[in-house]
Amino acid sequence: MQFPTPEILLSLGNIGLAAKMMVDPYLSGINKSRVRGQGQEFSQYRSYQPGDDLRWMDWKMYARSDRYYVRESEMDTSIRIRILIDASASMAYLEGGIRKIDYAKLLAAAMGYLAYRQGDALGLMVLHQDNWESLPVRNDARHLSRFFYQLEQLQTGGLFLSNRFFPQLRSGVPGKEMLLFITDLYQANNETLELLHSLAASKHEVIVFHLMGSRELDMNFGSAATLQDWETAERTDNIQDGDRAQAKENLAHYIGNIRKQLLEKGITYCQLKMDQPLNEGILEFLQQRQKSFI
Amino acid sequence: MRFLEPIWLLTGTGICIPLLIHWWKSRQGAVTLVGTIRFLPKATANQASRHRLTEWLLLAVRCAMILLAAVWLAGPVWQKEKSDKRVKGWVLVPREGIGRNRIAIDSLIHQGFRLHAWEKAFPEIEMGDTAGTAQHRYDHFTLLDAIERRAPAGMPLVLFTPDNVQGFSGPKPKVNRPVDWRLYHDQQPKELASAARLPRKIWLYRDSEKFLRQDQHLAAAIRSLQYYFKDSVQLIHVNDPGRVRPDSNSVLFWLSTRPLPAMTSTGLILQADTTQQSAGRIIWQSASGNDILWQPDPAKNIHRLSVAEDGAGGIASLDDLPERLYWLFQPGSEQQRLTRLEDRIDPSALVDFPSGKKNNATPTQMIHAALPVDSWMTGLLILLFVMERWLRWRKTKT
Repeated sequence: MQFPTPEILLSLGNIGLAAKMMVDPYLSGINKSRVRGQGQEFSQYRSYQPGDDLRWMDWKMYARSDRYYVRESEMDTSIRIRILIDASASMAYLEGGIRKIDYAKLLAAAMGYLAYRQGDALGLMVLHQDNWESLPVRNDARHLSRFFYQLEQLQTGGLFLSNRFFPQLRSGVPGKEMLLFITDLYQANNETLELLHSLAASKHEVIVFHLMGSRELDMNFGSAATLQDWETAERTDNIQDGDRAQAKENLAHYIGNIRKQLLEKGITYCQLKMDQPLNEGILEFLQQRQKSFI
Repeated sequence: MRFLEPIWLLTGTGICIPLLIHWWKSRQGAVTLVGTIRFLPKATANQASRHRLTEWLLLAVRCAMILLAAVWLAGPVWQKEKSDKRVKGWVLVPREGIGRNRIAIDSLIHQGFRLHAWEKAFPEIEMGDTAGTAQHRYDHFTLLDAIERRAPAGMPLVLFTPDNVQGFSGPKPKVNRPVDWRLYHDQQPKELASAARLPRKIWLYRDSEKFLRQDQHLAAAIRSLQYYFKDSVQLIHVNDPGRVRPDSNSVLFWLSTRPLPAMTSTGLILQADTTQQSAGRIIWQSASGNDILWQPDPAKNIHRLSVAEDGAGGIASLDDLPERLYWLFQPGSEQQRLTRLEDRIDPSALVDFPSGKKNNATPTQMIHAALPVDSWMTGLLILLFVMERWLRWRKTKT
């Protein structure tokens, strides 16, 4: 299956349409939730297993066949999904004509649309340095339009959200939710990890989508003479060939360390490269969503 | 600080070149914004800081070099101003000419003038400061052009210069100040004296009162030569033609209308002439152009001496009669003397200068003591050049 590249999707200029183009191939032939449980619509009979709720025993079948059967039906699978986007200045990093924040918007739009089509409630939280924009978790068609609009208006700037706002932010995420956190994981004082740990500790299911550029991972910034940090505005000369291996090792060590810490806290880590189609991210979302019902 | 050639300051605009190069290089090396630079090795960041600092230092040093070179080319003169209301002007004289003009210079200094050497830096000197009095070849017009810009505006100048025409070459500069230009002969009488040969006997024949005045003039001139050279020349006055017996090493002045007696052996003869009709080779002329001494026949050593009574055409009109006689007595040196006279500058050639005019402008009452800045500026330029090379080497190495 050929997935449209991020460049093509961004050239559409309509994030909703781009989301449909990304998600519809996954939904062809699937119109309903496959999760079975105690819903309104009959699905099948299965043999009674010890531990099954006796209320769902089909006594008529027992009368006819003298065997215990449990009646199953399609279950309402609506879950609360909230997408968190890191809108710090470093998300404006440009590589191959695409900014990280644009890639993040596409990914968020795709996952939001997929969630809507699956009947999930959807919310959005954009994290700035001193505040955050929040779209409450809801499940209706108009809400999806608001979600897309909010994504299109998204701007980057400043550092990551200061940790003094974390308690307030946590209180704005009631109940158990699936939190999809799109970030580049660049942090000044470990605040991103701190937030993720606190959210995971609040029994939320957290998935981190770590956006990186290929050149960024290779520490190869072309022929530029000077490199400037998006967030600190600090400048330095472009990295020399002799120093590249050391820089790559530093980055790999940083990412490996973060990944380890996330996994220890039960947080799913998924690294996405900006020059690749977004399907990897969507598949990861689907897998994790499926797991959440098992 | 003043500049002798301020037009050269325009070369200071050359700093545009390093500035443009720096700007172009900065533009070429575009800045790439990245998510973070924290993973770069620390050495790279430190090195980059040093590199940028070196770049800026190089730019600053190069600009300073160009500006300094422009200032250096413009001929800076650091002038220390000090108030001195007594100074009425500058007296400028070659060091070797102080002795020849001592009285005039001394008088001017007493009037409030300051004595300066007539050389490139125009240093202030004392009367006895004749160090380096070797004969120099001067270009007076060039020096005048320089002093016009170096001396305070309106400050009157009194120049004492030799009258050799060789020192007056090129166009005459324009000056806007009173300049009293005084010429003097730079020939040293003592030097001439070492080679002087005066006649052993000088016969002066006069037989009437008619030529008494000429007799007195000639006798006085001869006595002055005797006194000056301390020579044992013998001046013999006679009024009897029979007693006149000149030899080949003597000179005869024949102040008489009588014809010359026949003489077998004689030296130079100067015969009085009242006809005022010169012929042959003209040797002396008065300031008004009248012929005073001439040689009718080059084959004979008989000269005719004009004895006109009007004062304008006779020897009485000659202020420098002793000197003329001196040169006349030197065998074969008359032509040399004439050449020397032709080599002298005509004072009328200097009439363009407002010499002797009353200065209407109020001359500045400040003395500007010119301090040489060439040496330390050259040193600074060399230092900057060495620094630029070192920074360049350091940048290439890192």
